[in-house]
Amino acid sequence: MSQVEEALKKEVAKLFEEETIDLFVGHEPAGVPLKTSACFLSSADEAKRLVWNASCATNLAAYLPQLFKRPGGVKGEWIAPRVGVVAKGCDSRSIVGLIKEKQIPRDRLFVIGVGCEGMIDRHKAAGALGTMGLAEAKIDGSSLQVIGTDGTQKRVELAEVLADSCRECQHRSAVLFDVALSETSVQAPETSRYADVAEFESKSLDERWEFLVSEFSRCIRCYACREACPNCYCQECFADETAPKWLGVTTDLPDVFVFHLGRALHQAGRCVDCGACVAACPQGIDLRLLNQKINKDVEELFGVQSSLSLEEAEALLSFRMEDDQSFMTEP
Amino acid sequence: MLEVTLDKSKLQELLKLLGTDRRLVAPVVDKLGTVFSEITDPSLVCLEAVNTNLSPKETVFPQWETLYTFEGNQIDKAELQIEETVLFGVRPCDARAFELLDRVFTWDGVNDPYYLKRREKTLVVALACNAPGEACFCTSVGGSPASESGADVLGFDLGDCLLLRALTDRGKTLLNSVSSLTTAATEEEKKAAQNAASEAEKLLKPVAVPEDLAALKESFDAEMWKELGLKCLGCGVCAYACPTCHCFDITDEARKGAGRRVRSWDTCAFSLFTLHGSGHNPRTTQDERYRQRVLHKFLYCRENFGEAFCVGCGRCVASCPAGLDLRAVLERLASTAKVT
Amino acid sequence: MDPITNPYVPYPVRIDEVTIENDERDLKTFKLVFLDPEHEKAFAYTPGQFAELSVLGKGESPIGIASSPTEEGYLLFTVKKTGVVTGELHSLAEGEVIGVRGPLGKPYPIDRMKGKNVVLVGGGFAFTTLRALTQYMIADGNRSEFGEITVIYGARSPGELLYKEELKAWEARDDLKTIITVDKGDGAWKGREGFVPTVLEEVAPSSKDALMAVCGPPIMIKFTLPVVEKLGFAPSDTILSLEMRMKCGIGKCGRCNIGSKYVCKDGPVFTLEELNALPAEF
Repeated sequence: MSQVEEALKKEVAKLFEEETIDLFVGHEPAGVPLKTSACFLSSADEAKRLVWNASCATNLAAYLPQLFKRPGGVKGEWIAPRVGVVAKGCDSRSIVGLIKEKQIPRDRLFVIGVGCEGMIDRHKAAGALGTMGLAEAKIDGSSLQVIGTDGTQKRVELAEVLADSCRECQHRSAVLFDVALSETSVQAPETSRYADVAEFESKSLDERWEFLVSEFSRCIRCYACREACPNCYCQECFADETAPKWLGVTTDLPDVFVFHLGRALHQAGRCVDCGACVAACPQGIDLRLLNQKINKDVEELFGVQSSLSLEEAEALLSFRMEDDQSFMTEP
Repeated sequence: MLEVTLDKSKLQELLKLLGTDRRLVAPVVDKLGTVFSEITDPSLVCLEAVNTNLSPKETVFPQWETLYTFEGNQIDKAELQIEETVLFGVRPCDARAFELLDRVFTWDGVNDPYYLKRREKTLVVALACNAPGEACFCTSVGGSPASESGADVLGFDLGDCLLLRALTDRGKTLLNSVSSLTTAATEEEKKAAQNAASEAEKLLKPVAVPEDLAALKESFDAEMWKELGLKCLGCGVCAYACPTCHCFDITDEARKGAGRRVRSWDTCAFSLFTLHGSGHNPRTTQDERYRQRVLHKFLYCRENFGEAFCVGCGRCVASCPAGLDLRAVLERLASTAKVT
Repeated sequence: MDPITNPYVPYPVRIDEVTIENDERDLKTFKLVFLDPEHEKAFAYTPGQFAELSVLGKGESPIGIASSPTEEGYLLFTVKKTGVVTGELHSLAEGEVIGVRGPLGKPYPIDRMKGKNVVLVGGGFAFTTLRALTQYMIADGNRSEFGEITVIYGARSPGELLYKEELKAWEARDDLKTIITVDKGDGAWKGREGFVPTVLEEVAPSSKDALMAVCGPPIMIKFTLPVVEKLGFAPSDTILSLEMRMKCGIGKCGRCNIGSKYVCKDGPVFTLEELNALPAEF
């Protein structure tokens, strides 16, 4: 157990003992290696369930809005619970976004900020074993040992199996917190950001089309990306509307593209590149490419990254006279 | 019982023969592990992974299909055309799932022509497992690494050769059609196949699966569903990856009076699944929906079909983005103390 | 794609007549006629069953059959305008062709009702299949098989009452006790006023050798069932018809279950005893 994990457990127990919170959302181990599951604690005793390690990739902000909604059938006065949550950089940015979009109340939230050195992409880790399933994984310093279901052992550098969104991450410490347990020890990478997008942009139109088709033809319309994303909290998603019906239910490319492009556009200026969509996708589709391309455009046009502070105005939720209008065409 | 052996050096030839005048669907390498795909080049077939990412149910129950096309108020009379298909390399859990799906799609004598036509045209060549996968628990739900249910041929990987056992008349015909590549299986080889199966079984970690229907009924009101419902994101990964999940939606698409009525995979985990036109929803919270998923598979299907609708393939555990583990849920339900 | 062999393909039917049932004009009864006599033969139904009304390009809607098979040559469906499919249906005119898939579901247990007194209690636009049942029981040749028949039917206001012509015809008969009530009358209403559960309690039909069929919105059911119990009707003799979101209507798509029962094929008609054994999830 790391120092941060120990500190986290102590802090959460204290929050319950001092009656600062009614509920805590954290990570606990899932039943398979390199995966965690969100846990919902309601007492100091339960703090021992928590973990903090390089498998805590889930963006817990996605679980917050539902906790502040009045449960059905409850009449009369209802007071929202006070909810605690552990947040790494990207999680905390999502929390900032959700507060600004009025999905969670700042004054009922207690954020424990933690620094993050990057989360492991379990598909990449398992990929080291070829097509064999992953039976066990152990972090050993800066490397990861993976053991396949057939007993094969392989050792990889942690840096090689980090999630794509983590490799480029500029905000590894929480940007909003009530208590910071740790700051990140990792420097923001020297490599240019949006490297993946630049690579895509360097392709010809035909190559881009080929790439997009090869990625998105695998989509099975499971909506895991949408459900895992903290920003997708709409009661009725445009993809599910019947009147008007924007797209069909099939896995034909037109339907798939309308869904993913639609969702990516809805994320414009809001996506924090937490990688939850990529981690959730059962088909390994490079979903963040669309979001990052749009993020890059927004940053270039408006000079703003999304959800960094409660005070700063969001690019597409505010208007300034000096906003770039060069992309507008004459009618 | 017809049992033949194929030297692995002849596997490509076998696949080529199987794919002659037929569609050949087999596992190929994909971005994440392997996936069942229609192939024309047998060299792409990869049988190394214990199982594919998604189940092969797509072959008989595709992610979406056109029920019929129409123009105005005229429905196109053309019947569904399905090619002869060989589904090769299916694990026994997935093959057994076909047998379970058969029951739903012929229930009460109402036959689903789309599923049945595909099923009839698909020859299933299963491949027994030598070792469990990431989260396998087939033996805990009435299956086994060498189960014969739902397949026409069952193959055993004996290292340098494959032993192929005909399970049905169609399987026998299939094996006879490739007899130029095979030899009769020796007693030694048959024994090796038997051993491989029992060794594989030993490697499986048992999961306590609830059998007491009355206790399961009572669990409907248990507290445990609340946290599970909070964890569950309400996406479709588990149901879509699952070889026995069969829920579907029917929607119409039309432009200028012409179009099609399609059916597509759906899941009880989605929040809109049971939403009435009036706005009423019998399952408004995710804990009610998650409970439905589990009880449907382990209680209601037992009541209706005598068997749980789970073959223990473990895909839901491996793929769940929320980290939910069905095995842990089952163990909790099966515990002798009253379920809380 | 032959509707006789493919349970997903609807029979084509022509809209022969459209009757606007209520003042709000959001309830219409469609009289449908089969285009193919073979299809009509195949569609042998019993009161209590439903069908999926199909509008190609929009979708399908599960609607209870309001006509009795004794009314030959046509089917009646009363449809409330609620969404995409029903909205489109409401915009269609006489002569247009739609589809009907069925008959689906388990009907009212008519064999159990033979030789017994039957009490029918309906509210609002859920009365549709009770109309089918009533028409069936009072039809020539059928009436003598049943004991006393009592119909209690209520709507929010006089304008919301369905089947106004049939109600008049029933009230004129002496082999049928018809009690109509409204929650609130208008100036012209000379009949009874009162909620259905209250009226049921006042009328107090005997539960001896009797079966009770109740059909109505959830709020009416909630207040009616205690009265039914008070009157001494056993749960096995109390019959209800449920609604659920449906798609396939044939027990395959997995959508309409309550516990191990599917409303489309094990229902929509259930006895209270059967319902009590199911999980409270509807």
